[in-house]
Amino acid sequence: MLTPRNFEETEDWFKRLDKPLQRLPARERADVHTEVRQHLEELAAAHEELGSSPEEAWSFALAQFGNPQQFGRKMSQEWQKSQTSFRADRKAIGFGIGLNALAGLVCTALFACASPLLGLISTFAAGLLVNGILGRRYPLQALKSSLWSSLFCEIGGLTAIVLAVRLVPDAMTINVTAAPFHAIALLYLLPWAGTAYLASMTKRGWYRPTLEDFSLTLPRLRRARE
Amino acid sequence: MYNEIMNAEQELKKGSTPILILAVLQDGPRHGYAIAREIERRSRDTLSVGEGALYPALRGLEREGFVQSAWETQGSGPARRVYTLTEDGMAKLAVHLRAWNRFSEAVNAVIGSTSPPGGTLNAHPA
Repeated sequence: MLTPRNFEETEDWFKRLDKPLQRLPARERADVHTEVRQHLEELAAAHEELGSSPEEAWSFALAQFGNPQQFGRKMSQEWQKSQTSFRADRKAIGFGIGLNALAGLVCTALFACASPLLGLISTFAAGLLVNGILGRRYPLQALKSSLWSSLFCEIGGLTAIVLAVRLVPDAMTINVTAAPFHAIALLYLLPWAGTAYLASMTKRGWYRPTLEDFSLTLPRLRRARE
Repeated sequence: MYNEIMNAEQELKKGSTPILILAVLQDGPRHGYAIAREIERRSRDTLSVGEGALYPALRGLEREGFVQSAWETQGSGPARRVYTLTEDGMAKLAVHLRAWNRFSEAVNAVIGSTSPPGGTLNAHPA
């Protein structure tokens, strides 16, 4: 139980802590307050065990924690860094999606005149090329994840198209309104779905995919959820 | 002389806070206060992480993916923020432990086991 003197001292201490924390969202600020207060209570309890009075113990706890403004500044800086890295991840994923979209649009525009199916095939091939080159070049984990997920999905899509061409008679002259064409076009959505799914994971920091363990993505995602 | 030793220790401690935190969390999830006290207990009060440095360090480790935190209710008390080592954190700790062992072996090889002039000094004068 805080004495009136402790109460004033604590109010002043938390006001000084709050000043540098203003840029944090209210929820984050409340979390910092709660965590700090719990720590102070433990510190005060430890000082009481050593023989201090409750009032002295609380004052010692506030002093031991240190300068609240300096602490608040460091916490604010760390929060800023986390936002910067989150924005970088989002931009990286957006970059991956954008490149895939651009490659798709260019190839469809160039080849769809000859045949819709040829347009799709060339889009997949361009996507493979783009993703293969960029996946090796850019070190950002999120970008690699985005690109490699697209790469594997597009390998699957291209394989499906090749099989369709072999198995379905007259596939190269397929009607764009026909169901098989729609099914093949749907396969093209797989890279975007995969990328969006991984983006949602990365956004909350639940999962940090790496190139090396991409094959273990699903088990790791399940573990991250547990 | 004691102050000079303390200053030298401070210099050595700089930058080691994240690794100390990871090493403590290797044994299981803990909240911030428990992490600070465990570091002091294991080092027999030689090392202490200032409260003002502990939480920013924990945020930094969380941002880098080496640690994750969650608010957990323990018993009948209010929810507390508990920190857990991630797989990436374990890998990072393993790398740093190897580096530390190499470094300390190398330093010991250079300086040897020579005692300072005047005999062994007590780090905590009476």
